[in-house]
Amino acid sequence: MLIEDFYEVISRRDDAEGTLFDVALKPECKVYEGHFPGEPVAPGVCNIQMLKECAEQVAGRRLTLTSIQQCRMTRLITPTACPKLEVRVRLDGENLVGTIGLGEDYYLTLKGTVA
Amino acid sequence: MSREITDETLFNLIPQRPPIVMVDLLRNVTADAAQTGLLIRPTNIFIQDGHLQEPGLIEHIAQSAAAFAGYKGYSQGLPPKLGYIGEIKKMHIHALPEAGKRLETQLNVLGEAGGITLLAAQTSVDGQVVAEGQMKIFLKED
Repeated sequence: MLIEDFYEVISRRDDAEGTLFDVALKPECKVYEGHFPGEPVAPGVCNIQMLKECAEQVAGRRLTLTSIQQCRMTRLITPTACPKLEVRVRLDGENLVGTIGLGEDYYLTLKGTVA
Repeated sequence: MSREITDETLFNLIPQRPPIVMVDLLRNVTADAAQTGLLIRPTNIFIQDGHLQEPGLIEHIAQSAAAFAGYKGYSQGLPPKLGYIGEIKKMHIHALPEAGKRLETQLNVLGEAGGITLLAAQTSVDGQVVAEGQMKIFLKED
């Protein structure tokens, strides 16, 4: 894990659409000291990194994100408002499609490539 | 602006604080462009195996935009507004630079409307492009 204590994976299951990870964000993560002081917001890039690390678990190896065709961050993720999240990833060759959400709500959608 | 704004003076322009400060230089600011930079310290939060990882490069671009937006407010005596990445598009990561190197970024504003800024950025190390792409940044209104 690149950003220590940012999250932990609670469970993981595979289905027809890929792999779904239940994750818990950890409010004690040091990144919130600076992002932002007194107003913790999960940095968008840390959410992307979490999604990539879930994809690494699916791939069984380290991955580098080589491109992001599009990544939409439609709602803010905070460790207090969203302690539990669902990270969905699908890897198809070099193509990575992923979402971070909870139930019907999406916070982040990403289409990119990995190597 | 011909002078350079560096290091902790930049804290007046951005809302981020350690351990996630990812820009240490702003210069050549015009109405729709600027240059930014960052010395990649070995202790940087986004370093793994001696190299700055992808989220570090992307966050540098996001904070470059924050510094650019903050500069406008700062020159009017206003504190920096919180900014959030709304969208990343056409981003290509070509290389993960080593600790000790310096990121140099050219930022160009493509459009601005209603607190949303669309910008293009190209980040180089030693003259080689390491990351390039577009980003939409939302500024939080008080």
